[in-house]
Amino acid sequence: MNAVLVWIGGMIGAIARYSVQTYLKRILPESTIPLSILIINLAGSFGLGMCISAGNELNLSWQLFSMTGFLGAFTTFSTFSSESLFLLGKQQYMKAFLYITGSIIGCIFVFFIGNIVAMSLL
Amino acid sequence: MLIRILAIGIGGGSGAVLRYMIQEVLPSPIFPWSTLLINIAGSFLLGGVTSYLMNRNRGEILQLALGTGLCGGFTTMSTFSAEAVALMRESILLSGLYIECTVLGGLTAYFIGQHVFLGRRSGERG
Repeated sequence: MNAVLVWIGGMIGAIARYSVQTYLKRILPESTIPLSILIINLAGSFGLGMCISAGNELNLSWQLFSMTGFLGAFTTFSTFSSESLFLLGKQQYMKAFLYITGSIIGCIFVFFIGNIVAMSLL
Repeated sequence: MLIRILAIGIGGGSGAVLRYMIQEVLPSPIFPWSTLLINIAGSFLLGGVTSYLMNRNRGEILQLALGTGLCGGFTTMSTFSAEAVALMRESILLSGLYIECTVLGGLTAYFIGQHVFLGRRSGERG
């Protein structure tokens, strides 16, 4: 049962990531820094920060579905690796540096903010 | 369009379940080994899948199922952030090491994956 919940959450998360990414690519200005995946990872990390703070309020099934499944699959690390190497390969070192630090420090920071926001709400 | 959504959904669901199972089997008491391993393995796989399919002009559907779906759903940035923050409360040094290993490991693994599967260095975005 647990695996089924993770499966369904992961399914929805991956489809949501693809849809949001496709949409963002259309509306965002053309940029060599892959903003769409950056925004997705930031949003998902913020969401997980909120959910983890609210952990005691959520039952285990809901946690597996939303945190392990949905947010786990909505955010991604493999594409981050791919985008970073793409920039490095193009010798866009400054942009690669900005993208890598922005993703990593950014996601950790917004996760923390998500924690604080949820605590103040509960 | 529906076939694309299905491909990503099935891949993404499988990736998430695989991640969940590995995290259940490999408990990480202090240092989050399991997520580190997952993110490195998933990056390696995406590098391989992308260059393998690029060189053989295989379908976009397979790229969506295995790349966007499976590797995308398997690897995760949100849990990584959660663990980095949790580890900071224990030890700044360990947290720094975890972040360092994840980034360097992920990029290196992707690069190796690309070349193991005889890929040209490509700008394909998974």
